[in-house]
Amino acid sequence: MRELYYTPLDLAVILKSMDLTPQEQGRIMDFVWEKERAFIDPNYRERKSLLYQKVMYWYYYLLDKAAIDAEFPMVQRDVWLAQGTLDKNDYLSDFSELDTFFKSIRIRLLYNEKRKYVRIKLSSLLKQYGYQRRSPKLMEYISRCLLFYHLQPYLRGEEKCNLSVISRDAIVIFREVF
Amino acid sequence: MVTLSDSIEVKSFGKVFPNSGSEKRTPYDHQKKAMEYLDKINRFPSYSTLVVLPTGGGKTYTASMWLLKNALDKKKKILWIAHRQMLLEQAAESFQKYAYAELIPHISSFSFRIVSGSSSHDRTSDIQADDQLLIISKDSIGRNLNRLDSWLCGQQEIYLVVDEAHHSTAKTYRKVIDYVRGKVPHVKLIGLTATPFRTAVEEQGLLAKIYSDGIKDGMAVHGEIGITYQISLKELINRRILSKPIFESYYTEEEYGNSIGIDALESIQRLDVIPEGIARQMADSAARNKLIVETYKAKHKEYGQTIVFAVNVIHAIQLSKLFNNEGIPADFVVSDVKDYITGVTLSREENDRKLQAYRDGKLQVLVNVNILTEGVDLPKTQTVFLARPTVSTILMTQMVGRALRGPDAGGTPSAYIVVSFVDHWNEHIAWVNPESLFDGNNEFTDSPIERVKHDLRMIAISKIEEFASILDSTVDTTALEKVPFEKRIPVGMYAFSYLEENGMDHSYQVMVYDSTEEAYRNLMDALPSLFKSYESTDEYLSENVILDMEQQCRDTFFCGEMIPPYESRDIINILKYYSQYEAIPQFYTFDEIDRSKLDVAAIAKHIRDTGMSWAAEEEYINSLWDNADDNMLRLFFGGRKLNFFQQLSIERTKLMGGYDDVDRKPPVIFGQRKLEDMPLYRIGEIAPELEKILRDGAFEKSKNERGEYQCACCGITDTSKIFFQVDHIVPMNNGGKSIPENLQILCRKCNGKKGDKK
Repeated sequence: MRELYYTPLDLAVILKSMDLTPQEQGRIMDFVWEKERAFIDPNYRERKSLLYQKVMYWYYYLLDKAAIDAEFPMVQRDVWLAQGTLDKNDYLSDFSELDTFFKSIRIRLLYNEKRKYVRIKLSSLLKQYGYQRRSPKLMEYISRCLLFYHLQPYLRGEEKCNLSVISRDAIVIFREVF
Repeated sequence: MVTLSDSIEVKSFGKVFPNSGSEKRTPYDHQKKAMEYLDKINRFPSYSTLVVLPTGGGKTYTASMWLLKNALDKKKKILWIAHRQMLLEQAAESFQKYAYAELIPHISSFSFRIVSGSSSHDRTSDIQADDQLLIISKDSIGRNLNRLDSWLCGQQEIYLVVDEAHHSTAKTYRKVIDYVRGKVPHVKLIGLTATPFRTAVEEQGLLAKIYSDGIKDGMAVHGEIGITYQISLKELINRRILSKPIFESYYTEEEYGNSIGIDALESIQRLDVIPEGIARQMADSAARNKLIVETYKAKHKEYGQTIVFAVNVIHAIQLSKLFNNEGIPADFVVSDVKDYITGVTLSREENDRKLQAYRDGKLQVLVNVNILTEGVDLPKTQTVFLARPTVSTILMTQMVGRALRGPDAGGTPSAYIVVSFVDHWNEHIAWVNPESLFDGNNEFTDSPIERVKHDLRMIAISKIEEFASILDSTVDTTALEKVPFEKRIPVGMYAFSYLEENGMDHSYQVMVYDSTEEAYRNLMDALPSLFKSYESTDEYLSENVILDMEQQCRDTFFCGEMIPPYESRDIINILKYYSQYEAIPQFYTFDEIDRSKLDVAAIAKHIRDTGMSWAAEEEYINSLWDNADDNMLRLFFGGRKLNFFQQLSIERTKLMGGYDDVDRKPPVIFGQRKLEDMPLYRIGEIAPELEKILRDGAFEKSKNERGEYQCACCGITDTSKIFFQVDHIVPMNNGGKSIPENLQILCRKCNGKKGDKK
């Protein structure tokens, strides 16, 4: 379950992918803080400043990951010499565990009131997770995400669908379930 | 068999007999002039004056030649003081070497003694009344002044020489000078220095008080900073006594800047010590060593006899071996102290043998680690290889000085060459460029751009710790983060250096911010009173006294909101400096720094106001960071982009209102305690301003009708707060509260007594 909460890194990746202006980024963050707090990683749910700052940190990390990764041992040493502690995972990431697909869908849907749905070809969705086929494990995971994020897949014509059985080439439409 | 009653020869004392014949070396014009002017000032029965000759200018030679003739030959005693053992031996050697019969025709010999803490020197208890030349370390004599009594007894006139006289403002020197003046009616004080005006303005004032007689336009003058003779490095070059070298630079492929930590930065920038790890890396780099040797090999005819300055002993050994492998006769000289890393111990005799081989032309290359910087005459040297960088203009001058001897000074007629091997440090360290020694009109002055860069590097060292604390999730730095970024850029610094007990210079900088500027000003004003109140006259304070003084300074001046927070070690270093020099450290403003370029809050605002997209922001941020023109941002953040990003994210958060909301509290209800039931320092931790109000209030109500602060117990008064401490009338452990009505001030003595009774 824990991996389904929005982490600051997830939010930074989503902000980057949306290519927004700083003002819009601020509005999205306010939206997440005010309307989506239940979905925020519990470590950040109580401190707005910490959440915002960490999101912005990761946003800049994405901007020059190579430089930050390279200089990290030096920074780590600074903190050590200042008799502090530094958790590497707070500042570096190789994104291997990152899964922002459904989180991104939910934020895009809910933040933009005019936008009522997100469309994607099922094969493209599978590709997001590195799969060609619908393994039981993957489908179970996707089901959990849909449930967690209150998303319902449809086919054209508002027809609810089961992602395990529809054609790989079908266009899936996600809507929020209230 | 050797028995305990057998004697061996020691070099710490002895008798010097005149060398027959006359000195072949003719003094240069500037040395003759210096002696001529010294003759003029010497007409006065007593005086105190400086002789300023740059490195390579023959300071010790000039002084010893003149003193042989004017003091020793006239049976006047000389007390020669220096702060380092090496300087003592150098002085003794000079007197021995130039004791020619024509200089000392009236005496058949003179006795000398070298006294210091070194095992190879004598103790103060060994001083004999008939020693004529006493060469002594500052600290040995400073601790045992009365050991001079019998030596000084009956003397009407004495020559007192202070080597490296820019240190004479240190308390021990002043104590020795005063002591000798108290015992001998006519003291002729001569200070020798290459750099008299590097130090703080206040110190210069003190220096002027110590040395007040000189020669100006050929006439004796009194009452201002007294210099009998001075000549600049440039002038010596113009006169072809020293030659301006040809500079060559070779760039290594070595990259050190990106992995350099704060400890390494401090070690290099403040102490000019390359940390062991980096030194090892440099020494072990096959490519770097190869470049050094290949460079020499390619132009060996041009370079001729060459001195190589290596990073450490291992480096010296390796380079020497590599030169020999290439068929270039080379050897290395290192300190005669055993090197614990390599186990190499070279005796002085071995070093002397190698130096002689070099002088005889049997060696083409002589590799060393900092020991050929001064005091060794190697006139055939044509080239210097700088295989170690330095941040010290003094060390650089000394290294380059090996090649400065000009054609008119017995050097080779061809131009000298200084070859630097430059590594990549990415602007992290302000290495001295040897060419900069010869730039500009004044020696050792940086261009404004260099000055700004230097200042920024100093700031960076002080900021890295602050930035590191912000990265540490276990430390709550929210208060600091909320402060406007521009307020976190220092407005200036106190920069000073003092002598450690081991004779080493310790440089320190105290950064001053908007929020602490006034506190520091008040502290500086109060320093004389503070030291008076502690009746402290020692040059080196005991740890207890210094901690006590620091606490007093903190309570008197540094309560209230301070951004960044109060730092006790800054005050401790100021106190150590003051205890030595009794002068306020020099304050440098950072006015030349364009602060707008460092203001991350302004950068964040610009990003927001211009509505930058991802791509635009990426371009903007990188252009700021990589700005090749001045690199200011990179310098300010010590090259750590992560710190820049962290600060930028904080500023962006502020603009998004991230700090507006009250963060939720954990679901625990803790107990409550009134602030008035807490001691003042604890109140200060929670509400610094409240502590300040309470302390200031206690002082305010203690003023008498003349506006002086008055001890509530003994009634002693003073205009400075530094004598007093805030006291709880009813002690807290008897239920007293930290409220204005229960606070008073007591002098430290009364407060101490009251504390003992509690």
